[in-house]
Amino acid sequence: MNKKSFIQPRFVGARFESHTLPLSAGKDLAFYEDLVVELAKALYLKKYPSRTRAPKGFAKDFKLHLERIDDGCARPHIVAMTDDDTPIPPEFEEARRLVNEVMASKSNSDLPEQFPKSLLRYFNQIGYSLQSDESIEWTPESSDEKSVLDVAKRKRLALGVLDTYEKKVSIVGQIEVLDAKKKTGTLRSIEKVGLAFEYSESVFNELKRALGNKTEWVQMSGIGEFGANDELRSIVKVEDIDLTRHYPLVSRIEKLGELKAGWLDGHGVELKSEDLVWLSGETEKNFPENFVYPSVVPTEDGNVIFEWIHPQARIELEINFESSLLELYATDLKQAAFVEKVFQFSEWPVAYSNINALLNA
Amino acid sequence: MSRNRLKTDLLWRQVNPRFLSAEGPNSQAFVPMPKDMGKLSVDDATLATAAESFVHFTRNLGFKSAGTWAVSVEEVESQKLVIEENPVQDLETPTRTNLAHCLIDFAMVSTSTGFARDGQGAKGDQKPSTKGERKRIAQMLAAQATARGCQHQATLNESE
Repeated sequence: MNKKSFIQPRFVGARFESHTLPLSAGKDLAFYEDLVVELAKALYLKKYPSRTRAPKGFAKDFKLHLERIDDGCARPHIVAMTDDDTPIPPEFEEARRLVNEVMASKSNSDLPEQFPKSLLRYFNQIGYSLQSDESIEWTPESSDEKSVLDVAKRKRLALGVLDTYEKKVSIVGQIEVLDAKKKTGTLRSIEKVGLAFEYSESVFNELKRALGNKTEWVQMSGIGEFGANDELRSIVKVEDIDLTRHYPLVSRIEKLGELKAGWLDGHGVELKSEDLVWLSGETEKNFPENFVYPSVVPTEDGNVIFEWIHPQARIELEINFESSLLELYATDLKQAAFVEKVFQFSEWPVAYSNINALLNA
Repeated sequence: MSRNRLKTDLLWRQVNPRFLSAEGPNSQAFVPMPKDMGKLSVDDATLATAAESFVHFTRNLGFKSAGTWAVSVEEVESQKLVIEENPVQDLETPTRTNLAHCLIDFAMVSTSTGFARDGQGAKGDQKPSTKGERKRIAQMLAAQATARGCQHQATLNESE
């Protein structure tokens, strides 16, 4: 086999600074190869209009391989592999040049004439793993035009021929419908939007556990199908799911971990991560089904308060980490009646039972 | 010298974004924190508008606020709390000057009936407040401020 240097793009972004290439980004290169092959075939047929298809073995003998990854963010060196006796058809070189020109284009009306517009659909895949602050420079050695592909450009290119485009997505919701035969389902997002999804067998058991369960929330990541205005239409591939009981409440607790010392007018301590992890776990275990989720409030000295705000009542449960106590303070606003009780950390069910009585008083 | 206030006069309270939920300000926004030494900071609405109070708190002092809420003098005094005038005059940093500044004293609660007035309170009948008493009062004030509605709303950029 012969190998010939074909292209050496540069992946730019924090993920690539250790001069390694995430496997998900490696898929971008596989889709790039598919585009080069399809484009080379199209160029051949344009050159020989009497032919209805490219000659046998035209694409079969052309393979792109990853030879090494060089420093300078991540610069994968891609080589074309051919049989010893077979030179690479010139259409492949031409295809590489044209793809670079497409990626350097400023608008979809600026595309090279020889590039068939239908092949823009490949940009639905190439670069799908890119995050908003990342890009791929396909001609990084060029001083003026580096043929940069980023999130905005691949969206523009894909929408040049499709109604939707695909990119990575992460979403939280509850499973409403599951069709085990078709491997499809419907997720009701935390924003109450219904979204169809397609899944693989590997996540079926977890999805089944979450199906119709009011307390079980699914954090789903995968490939989303988006409209031109970036609205999520569906999830075309579920890659990973994570189940969290009472996610809306647990995520509010976890968010308190972002607070830095001085968060309250220059005062306010940083909440201890071990306290928040413990409270999240206790909440997943003990928070009652069909209970309204309270707001979650930090205190200056590092405690957490759950508060239920009703027109007729205010109910606070302060989780006092230092004294290991649950302090209940509640006011019936109409009667101006006040309840104050204290529970041990082992008495979550009793505390919630008291709150339930107050909520339904 | 204490001012005579009308029961209907309002007192502005700035609410930290961490103490605002979908239903309105949390009770925590109306209870003095350890840093406050038992006294809740407010502005006298007869001396500053809700917007001026917000701007002073966020721009001049550099603190965070989701907006200005209000409680009335009557609502505070009905909890047997004393309103103290506490004007801030800072000649070195004039932007910190705030002549409308007042404090609601939660440190002592009155055991007598009737309203405490004009910073005098009912001193003979006062005792140190417990945490539960401070919580009860804060829940009442927060509910009243919520019912009255936000008096000056921060924009997204202003609150965070």
